[in-house]
Formats: sequence, C-alpha cells, structure tokens
Amino acid sequence: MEPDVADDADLLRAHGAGDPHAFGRLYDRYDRACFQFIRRLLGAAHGDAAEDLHQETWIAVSKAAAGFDPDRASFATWLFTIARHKAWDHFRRQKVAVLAPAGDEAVMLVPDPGQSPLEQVQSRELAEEIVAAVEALPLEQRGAFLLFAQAGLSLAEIAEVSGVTVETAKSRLRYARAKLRQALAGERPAHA
Amino acid sequence: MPDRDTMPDPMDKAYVQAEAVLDDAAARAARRARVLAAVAAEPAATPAAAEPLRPRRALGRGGWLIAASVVGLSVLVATRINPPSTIQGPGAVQALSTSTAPPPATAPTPSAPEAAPPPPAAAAETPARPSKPLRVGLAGPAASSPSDLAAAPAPPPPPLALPPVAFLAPPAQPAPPPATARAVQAPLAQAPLSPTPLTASPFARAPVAPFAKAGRAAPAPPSSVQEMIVTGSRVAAPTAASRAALFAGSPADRAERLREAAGDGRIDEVEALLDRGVPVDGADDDGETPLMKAVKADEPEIVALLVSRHASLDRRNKAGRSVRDMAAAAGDAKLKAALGPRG
Repeated sequence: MEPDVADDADLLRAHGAGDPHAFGRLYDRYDRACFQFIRRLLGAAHGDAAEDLHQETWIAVSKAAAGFDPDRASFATWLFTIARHKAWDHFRRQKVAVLAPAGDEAVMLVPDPGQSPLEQVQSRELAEEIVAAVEALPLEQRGAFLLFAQAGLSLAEIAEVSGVTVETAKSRLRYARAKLRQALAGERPAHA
Repeated sequence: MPDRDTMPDPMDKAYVQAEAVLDDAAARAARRARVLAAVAAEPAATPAAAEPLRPRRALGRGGWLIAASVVGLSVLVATRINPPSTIQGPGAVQALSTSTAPPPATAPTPSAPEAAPPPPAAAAETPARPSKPLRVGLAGPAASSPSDLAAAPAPPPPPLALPPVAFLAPPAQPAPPPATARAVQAPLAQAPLSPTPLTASPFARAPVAPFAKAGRAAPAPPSSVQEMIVTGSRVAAPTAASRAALFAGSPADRAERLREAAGDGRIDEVEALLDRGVPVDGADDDGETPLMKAVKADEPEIVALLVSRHASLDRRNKAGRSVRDMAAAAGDAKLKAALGPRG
C-alpha cells in the first residue's frame, strides 16, 4: 500500500476543489487523535457530547477550508484549535466553570521513576485506570498532555492551540505528567 | 542537553497504549461514516459556501434585521419625500410643484418616462406626496429597477404622515433648488403630523441623519436607492469577501477589528477572529482590551466568550482600571457572572 504523502493543506485544497476523497484521507489522519482529544477533554461527565463535538469540528474544518492558511499554522494546530474551542464552547453552554489550574508545586516533588511502571499496558482494566487518571487532570494540563502525547504536537504548537506562551504550555505538560505519575504510582511498583 | 519536557515521556507512551487497548474499531468506523456523511451534506468548502452560518446567527441577534429595517425605511422616506419624478429633472419638479392639480395624463418628464404618474385621487389627498413613490418604498428590495417600479400597480395611497424630518430643511447644497421645489418643500415641512407606528419607530429617523449631516436636502435619487438596496443586501448576506475583509490587513488591523466587534456586540465576528488566532488581549492606544470593550458595552455574552478564551482580567488600561474595576462599576450581575470565578 502506497503511503499517503499528500500534504494536509493540499488535501484540504482538493476538498475545496471538489475532490470527494480528499476529506476522507485527511480525516483518517487525525480522526483518532482528534476524537480522543475531545473525548478526554470532556471527561466522563460530558463524554456523551464527544461524538457531536467531533462531528462539529470536522464540519467546521470543511466549511472553513477555504480560509485555512498553511503559512500561519499547520493543519494539526488549526484542527486542534477548533476542537479545543468546540470543547470550551460546550463547557460554556453547559455553564461549566473552566478553572485555571492552580499551581501545585507539591506534585513536582513526586520522584520521577525514570522508567514507566506502565511500560506495557495490556489489560483493559489498567488502560481504563490510565485514561481515568488523564481525565482527572486539570483541564488545561489535560489539554496540553493530550496534544503532546496523543496528537504529537510540539510545545510551540500546543502553546498556539491553547493561546498561551510556550513556557506555560511546557509547565502544564510537566504538571500533567507529574500528576499522572503520582496517580498511577500505586498501579505497579515503580522499580519492579 | 535536550529539554526533558520536549522529549517523549513514559507516561505519554502508557496513555497512547491505553487508548489503543480501549480503541473500538467498529465504533470508529461508524463515526467515520457519520462524520463524512455530515460533511458531505454541508455545502462544499468553497469560499462562497464557507459562510452559511453567519447570516443565520447574525439574524438571530437581530443585527441584520435592524440593518434591513433601516435601509427599507430610508427607501420609504426617501421615495415618499422626493419621488423619482421630483429629482430627475426640471420637468419632474414642475410636476410635483403643481401636483395639487390632477397630473397630466401623459408621462411627466422625458427623464423619468417609466415612472407612472401618481393617481389623481392620491395627488388630491396628499399633494406633495404622490402615492407611487410610497408604493416604491414599500416595495423595497423586491423592486429591482426603475422599470420594475413602474410596472408595479399603484394601489390607493395609505394615509401616512411624515415626521418633521431634518432633510426637509433648506438644503446646504451650493446650488439652491429651484423655486418650484422650495415651494413644495415649505408646505411639506409645515404639514400637520400625526404619528403612526412607522413614524414613531426609532428607526424612522435613522436614515434621515446621514442626509442631514451631509448637508443634503434630499435623499439619493432612485438609482442610488437601488444602490443602497443592493448594498444593503450585501451587508445582510455576508460573502466570502466580507469574511476575507474581516481577516484582512495586518495583525494590528485584526486586533482592532476584534476590539470593535467586542464593543459592538458582534459575537460572531469576535468568535471568528479568535478562532483565527487574533490575540485575545490586544490592547489599543488607551490600553483597552477587547474584554474591557465588551464589559464597558455591557455585552455579557461576549465577556463570557472572551473569558473562556483566557482573556486577562488583570490587565489595566492606561487609566489604571482593570476589567474587574469596570465590571464592578457597571454593577451588572450578568456581567459579573460572565466573568466567572476569576472575576
């Protein structure tokens, strides 16, 4: 099977020009990351809305395709910016207070095991615990973690998606990882 | 030495593996089909089709309705006071000035041959306001050309009274109007007025002001009215070009547009500009941010939107006032609520 080497922006342009397959190809590249980003950002309490927001995100992408400027940002940055806004708008509609994460220096004191206690996540139970730990992160930290770990965005891109500085994005990611380590420390011995 | 934060972390890997374990291929396939079908059902991603949401949302807020009302009323008032035949040429002025008598059976002027003469009955009841132009005004955008206007049947004139509109005052144009025109305008200006729902409307005066400010005695001739209608239509139905204009210019231009939209309550534009990456806290020369503009304009919806996009509540303008200060001064509970727990 030939690898899909077309540029994201080219696919978006082709979609705008009426290519019936271009959008599907683009969708397939980001479907998982985008859906999981929205799903985990919403958390268990709002998980039911994930399908709708995911669909709204892609419809927004399609509608705004003509306005996408690849010189300003990568498609991934643009896509996750839209997805994030959809989630935030959902919270706003639902009157969910999106609190800015308070500085929690204590979590930074959790020793880094150096090696993951969860190197091989094979059981569904453990996977669910990890996902639950991610969903328990403060929203902004969760967003930064998801964008880095799942979507593969750089810190600069995360900063752009989140509307913050790179330092802030980096700090959020660091806090998120530390809290995850703390939350999952009991799953297995750290140095088994 | 590489920055550890930018390197993949074991936790990242664990999470990705967890998602892989939980992945449901069937659900993903169903989702794919649903999303692509929904996208296909939407208008294609062409520049022209990228806009359909905006008119609906704007209409929901009443902005375009107000604009359409203003244009429609301006057409009504303009054609009511100065019908096409009065401003097309001397012959037309003559026809108006003598309109207390039944109008001639022939076309009034060579310059406006298609404009049907007012019915005799209408001329007798309201001498200076022939019914035909009123009909034209009411027809509004549906009448798209002078010939269309002429083709429209002339119903009995509705008994409309006009407010003492400013543009009835003697014109400030360098060239004074002919005596015959002034002779008509004077009785008009002194005509007894009986307010109607239309004349009492707050919009009734809206189209008058620009004419008065411009020092013009009369509204635009029909061709310009048509132009207004067309222009109004464009405003009411934004195109890709208008969206492009929203994003055009330098970052400073876009930041200014964001501040203006926030202060004017145009939430769609605010959202679009923010989605486009315009900085949420771009301040003007007075140090005022979009959020400050929205708070001062008492726009809780926009305040909530800006706060959700992490607009700063701590920044101060050059007068030393923060958003919190402004909201406290406004004393509006909705504003306070819109600012959220940080406010």
